[in-house]
Amino acid sequence: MDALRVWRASSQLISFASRASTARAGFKFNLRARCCSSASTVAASATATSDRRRRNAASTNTSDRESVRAIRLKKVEELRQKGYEPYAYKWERSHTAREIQEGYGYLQNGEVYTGVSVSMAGRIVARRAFGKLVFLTLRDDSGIIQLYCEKECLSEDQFEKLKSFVDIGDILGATGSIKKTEKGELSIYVKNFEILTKSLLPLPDKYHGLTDIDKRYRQRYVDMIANPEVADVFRIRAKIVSEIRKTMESFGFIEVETPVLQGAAGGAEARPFVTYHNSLGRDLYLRIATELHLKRMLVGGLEKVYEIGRIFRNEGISTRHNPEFTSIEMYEAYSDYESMMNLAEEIVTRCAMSIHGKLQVDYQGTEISLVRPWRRETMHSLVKEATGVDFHEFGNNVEAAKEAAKGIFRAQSEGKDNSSNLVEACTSVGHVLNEVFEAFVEPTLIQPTFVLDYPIEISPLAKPHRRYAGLTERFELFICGREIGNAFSELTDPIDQRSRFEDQIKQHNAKRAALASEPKSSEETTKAKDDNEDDYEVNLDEDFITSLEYGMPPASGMGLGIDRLVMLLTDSASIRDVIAFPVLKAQQ
Amino acid sequence: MDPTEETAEQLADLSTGTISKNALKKELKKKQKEEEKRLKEEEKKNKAAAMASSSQNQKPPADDEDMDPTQYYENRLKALAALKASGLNPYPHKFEVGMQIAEYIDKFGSLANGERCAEIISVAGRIMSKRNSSSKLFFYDLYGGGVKIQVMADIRDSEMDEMEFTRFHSNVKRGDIVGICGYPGKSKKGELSIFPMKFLVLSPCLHMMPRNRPPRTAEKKTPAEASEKTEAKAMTEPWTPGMPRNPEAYVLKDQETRYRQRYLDLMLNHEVRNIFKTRSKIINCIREFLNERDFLEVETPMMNMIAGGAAARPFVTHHNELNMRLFMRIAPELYLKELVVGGLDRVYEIGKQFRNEGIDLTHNPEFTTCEFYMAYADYNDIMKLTEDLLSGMVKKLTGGYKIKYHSNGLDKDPIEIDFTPPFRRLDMIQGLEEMANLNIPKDLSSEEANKYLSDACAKFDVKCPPPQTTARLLDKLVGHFLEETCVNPTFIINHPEIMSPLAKYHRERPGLTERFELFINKHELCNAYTELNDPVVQRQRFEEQLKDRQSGDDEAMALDETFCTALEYGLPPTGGWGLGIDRLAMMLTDSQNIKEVLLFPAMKPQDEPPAKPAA
Repeated sequence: MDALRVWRASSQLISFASRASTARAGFKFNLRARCCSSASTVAASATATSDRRRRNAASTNTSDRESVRAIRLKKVEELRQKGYEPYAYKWERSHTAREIQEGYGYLQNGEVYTGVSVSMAGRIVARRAFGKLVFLTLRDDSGIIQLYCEKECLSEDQFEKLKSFVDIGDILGATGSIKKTEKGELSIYVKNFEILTKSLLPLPDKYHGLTDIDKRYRQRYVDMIANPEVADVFRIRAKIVSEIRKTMESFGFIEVETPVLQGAAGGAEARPFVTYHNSLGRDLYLRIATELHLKRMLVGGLEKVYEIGRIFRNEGISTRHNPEFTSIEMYEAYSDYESMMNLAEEIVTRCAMSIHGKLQVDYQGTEISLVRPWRRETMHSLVKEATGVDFHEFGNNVEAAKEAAKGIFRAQSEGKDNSSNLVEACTSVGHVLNEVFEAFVEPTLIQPTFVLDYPIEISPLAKPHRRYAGLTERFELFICGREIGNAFSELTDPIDQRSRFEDQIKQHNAKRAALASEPKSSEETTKAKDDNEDDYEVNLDEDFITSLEYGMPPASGMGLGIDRLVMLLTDSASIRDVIAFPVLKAQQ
Repeated sequence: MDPTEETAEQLADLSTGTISKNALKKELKKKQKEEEKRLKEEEKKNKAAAMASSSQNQKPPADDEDMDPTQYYENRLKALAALKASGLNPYPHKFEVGMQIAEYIDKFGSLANGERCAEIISVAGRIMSKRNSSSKLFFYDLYGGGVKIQVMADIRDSEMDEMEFTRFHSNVKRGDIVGICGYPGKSKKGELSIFPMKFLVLSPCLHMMPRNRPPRTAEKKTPAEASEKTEAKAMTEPWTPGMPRNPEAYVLKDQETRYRQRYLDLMLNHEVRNIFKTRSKIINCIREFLNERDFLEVETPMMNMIAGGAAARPFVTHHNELNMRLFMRIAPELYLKELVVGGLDRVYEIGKQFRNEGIDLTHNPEFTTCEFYMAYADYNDIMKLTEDLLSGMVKKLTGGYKIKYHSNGLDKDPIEIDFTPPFRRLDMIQGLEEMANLNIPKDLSSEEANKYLSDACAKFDVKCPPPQTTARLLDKLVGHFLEETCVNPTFIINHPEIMSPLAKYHRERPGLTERFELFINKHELCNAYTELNDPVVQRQRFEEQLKDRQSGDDEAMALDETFCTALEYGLPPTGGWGLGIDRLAMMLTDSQNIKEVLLFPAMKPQDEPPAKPAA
């Protein structure tokens, strides 16, 4: 609702800007007139900034920007000379824009209400000046409101100050009564105003700001000023995280913090970031999951724990991946993976209800229904459904599975098959199944689906299935073809855990060795050795095994990707839209 | 209800989302039957296994505690292997817990001595002590959620026959996680107990648990009684926030073990879980306080191209695919202010910061802070908020405004810290001049001032290792004269500009800034200011920092061009605030070491893997 309103407000601004071209012209004239009056300053600053300009390839855009900056710096000086502080210390606000809009919308056109004295603050995002009347549009955190500034109504020389010193982009504080204009625009009938912060740079052009995607991410604050709806994504994000916390607390979970810097990075398969601690004199890894530490808490007797926090993976960036991202992991003693399915449904539906008030969510043009219960299907039967091949039939025969998989890839990708390497590298039927699943099933899982019972070979931390040998009690949750969650009945047997870790390390080292020994002629080696995604060390977390030896209660756990959940619920196409400051390539 | 049956039902629910109701019921019944059959078979195997393992383990369990821990571990591994070999799963998938132990105590605590209920209840937890009074009667203490009940395993209540019963219980060890279905009741002595009908080991403990054994002389009574007494004594006054603690009286005292193997600490020292619960409550309190005031919680990057917002040595890492050097953040300040520029008027972030510094009693390389920024507020408003937040929190967590803290070590009496608002305010320069009888030159950036302060340090024998910048000299003098007096919460206010590159120049007093630090028990807890939002002045300040850097102060701040540009778009007048959550948690949990409030503190590498705890 709010999002919609703010957006509408800002679109009014656009149409207003184009409609009121005369007013704009007036403003431009004003600006030019001031340019003339302070010509010397411009000249002086032009030389001062010429160096900067040269560096920036002297685009016209940049020079405009620099001259605006020079003019405004001059205004800062002049204001100080007149005894005003252009960077004020404080402003006492009585109302937000929304409170005014909601509280006084009932006024008649042309009506003035003096029964209340309001005090507002915000950024000036539009301005129209006519002789003895100036309209300013002020935007604060909650929305926008018009400032109706009439010469007679303002105290002393404030009108002159307004005309010569206030620019679009400045932060203003204003007090006055309330007036609805003849045209029906609810306004503050300004008695007194103060420049709270003088801005030095022109606000970006709306259309330009929208198209320059890279700049949007690099200078998020500019994006937010130009496109107020961007801020709504972060408001919703906060609400989602808060809703998740509330849900967890309501089920009696307690929030804990486990370390980011670790001696060995475990709990997932991913390349970690490495750093060095000077005083300890050792390498440390940034966590790739919180799993192993949270499980130690179960051993310690905290029966329901969770952590919401940042996870780091040294991987490429894409619309779905940022090197640091936020997850929640939760662990509950005496429960199994079915409880986690219920908890996943509970969390996601509660979030959707708190944001949208309904369980039908539009994501990039597709309607997603979050109505419970969600589909629950085993990995094997989903693959069979999509490809006609039942991987149960292969038993432990990897070669047969590979042949079948290659056949599937050939048939489904019509010759443009570059995945045979992937299949060929598989060391078990489970791995082959997973390749086929990722290629042909994942993208089709649009509506929420729990994919159950993953092969043991690709699930080193999950408990063996109580009924089906070779499988684990694990599920992943998919929505819109993306993995949102991953959960299992936790493996509690330290002996089994150790051998699974050892297998994992063996596999990893084999891959690494294969990469290292690959012939030079192969295309792969055109990349630096450094770039091979498997070229990193995996260590066994001995202490974690020791903790299991002290006995961990039967338990289940789940991780949910918060960024992806926020993407879903804010209809954002890229993870960069839901992370305030995403990692970007270094600028040239 | 039999929990195993319930499990079967729940199991059947899996992967049947689309089947009709009738089919579902059929399926359910079928699966239930299968499951029952399977369970029966398993039980048979169980019996066989119990026989097998007990025949291997001829030694009576009473000797366990005197055994060498390695030998003990080997024996347990063997028993485990034997169980597995017999086809039994020693790690069952699920045990349906009907009631938390705390709930159990609430519900049945009022039974009369010797009274028993007919209702069957299922509970689970860890066995923390075991006493066998005969081969037909075993006593255990069962812990869950930090509280305990007694388990009185009597052959007469059990489903097992005598031989089976004795063998089974002789293989239940201290430390095992068990599930019990049985009747609630009280022993004749009034101990709340459960009388098990079913008793399952859910996860065996393979190691000998460290224990606190007073000299054996006192244990002439029956083991059951003695243990009941010591436990009861330990449980009389549970620790709550604000109360003093005494880690030296813990069952597991060894600090290295406690911090490296926190799970043992939590298992054995029941108070410890309350420290971390308190920590969690502190953070919840802060969140609630800020949310109520319309602050928005945000997340800013932990890896940056530039480590700004504070003065500290950062951790460096490298992104492979982008081939980019990244720094771990040392403060979120600059990003949060950028969001205020973007129009989020009230933002906060609770999260980890990283500083590549030494480890000591108050420093860990990663620590948790809360920072908030509030548009249109100044440092006076923020001081008021700080008072409200902290005094309100202390009141909420402890019931009053005063807390006990072992400020002078555990061997001295704890002091009292009083959080009653308003807090004392102490002007930094004025205060220093008064307390040390100084007359500091007004222009603090002058050579003269540097000389004067350097002489003052020499006169009072206040050590300031080089580089002796004016900022550092002042800091040392303030530490010596002012901070020492700040036991109850005290704001030290109006720091000089040279010490505060991100704080706004004072509106009335040139050379100073509108900044405060809150000190409690002589330690800095908060740092806050009216934010500097004049981009021109901000650039100048960064340049001065650069000078300090060049003169050898490697903790001077680096210039962040993106941040300065953001200021040029206009940051509203803003008050900003940072609080060290670990330090606050230390105060409220009477912890003298930061490691007490971190679940997994950074520790020096060990030569040997931490396989065995120090018993």
